[in-house]
Amino acid sequence: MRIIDHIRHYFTPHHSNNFKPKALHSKYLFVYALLFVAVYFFIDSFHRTFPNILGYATDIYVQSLMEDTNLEREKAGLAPVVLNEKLSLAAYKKAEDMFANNYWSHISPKGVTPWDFIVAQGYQYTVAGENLAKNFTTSKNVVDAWIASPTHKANIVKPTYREVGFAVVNGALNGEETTLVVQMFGASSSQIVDSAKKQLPIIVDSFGASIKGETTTLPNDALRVFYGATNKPLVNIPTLTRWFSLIIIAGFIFLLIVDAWIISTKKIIRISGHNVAHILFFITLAIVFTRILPGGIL
Amino acid sequence: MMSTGKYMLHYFVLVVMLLLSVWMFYLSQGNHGFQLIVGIITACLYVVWGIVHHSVIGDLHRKVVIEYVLIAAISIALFVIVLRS
Repeated sequence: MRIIDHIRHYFTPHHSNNFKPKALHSKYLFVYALLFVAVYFFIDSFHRTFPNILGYATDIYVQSLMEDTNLEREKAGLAPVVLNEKLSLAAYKKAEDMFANNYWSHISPKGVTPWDFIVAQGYQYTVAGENLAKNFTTSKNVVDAWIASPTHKANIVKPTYREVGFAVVNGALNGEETTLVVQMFGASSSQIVDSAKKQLPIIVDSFGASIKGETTTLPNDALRVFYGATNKPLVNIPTLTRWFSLIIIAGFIFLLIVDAWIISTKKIIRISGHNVAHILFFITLAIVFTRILPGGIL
Repeated sequence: MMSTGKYMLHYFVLVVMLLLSVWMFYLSQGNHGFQLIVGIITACLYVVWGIVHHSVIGDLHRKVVIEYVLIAAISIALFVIVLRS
């Protein structure tokens, strides 16, 4: 068989393949599914063995988060917020608690609120707010995602906030390697705030009881993750898997379009699924993989 | 190849179903566990749509069902690779 015959046999409907590309036959589809499962296990085991080669890239720093946050406040005609160590400690403790108790929420499963963490650090707030982000690669992506969300943006450009604290912490959430970014805003009772806003507490979400707590100190080993998290493996897993999936999807769409065009022009009648439906389905997957998956905010 | 114009309603239902799944993904941003569930449900609904569609047009065959099931299985495998790796 010549190469051209092989290509025709595998990629176009022809009498040699019962008028359906061999690459789209059920047997082959089954093999692809098994191969993709094998790819998943390969990536997982390779990452465990060589995390510096195949891992999760992170490049998030408090300095950049601060600059981007204040840039947004400047655009809104507001004064910049100042970095506050107590709020940063509270943010770090919140991130630590989320990893320890395995949750992704403003309120812990035990009912601990963001305000509890703030008060526990000795910060007597008049107003306070919290933004959360996870699984982002860069500082800019984090702030861009917050700004794209009206509720998170409202937090960033709230006039009554004077100070901010950040924590950027790597860990595992529900068995998934994650970089958490916690942003806590506040204005302490010692500061002058708009008298009209002097209610206790004014919070972004619909909860707000505060509990007095002990002041805690930051563990030494936390310092390296407190002001930023950086990890630069040779290959970034999310980028690799996304591109791998998109190339596979593009391949399927191309094959299905070629197949649909040939059977349409040659008026071939066969028992098969409908290519238009398959193409729509794969396009949906492509949209989901490219536009929606990266990162999450709360 | 069938005429898609003849079965516009079927394709309208499919497009709405797929758009809803994209919306669900958007709503569950950052929650990869839930996104995987949405992906699996979307794949299952696609199989159901295929079976119903081919049943209505009268060319439902075991081969067709297997094809839709395998396409769904491939999509689930890709979801697992992207969301769980």
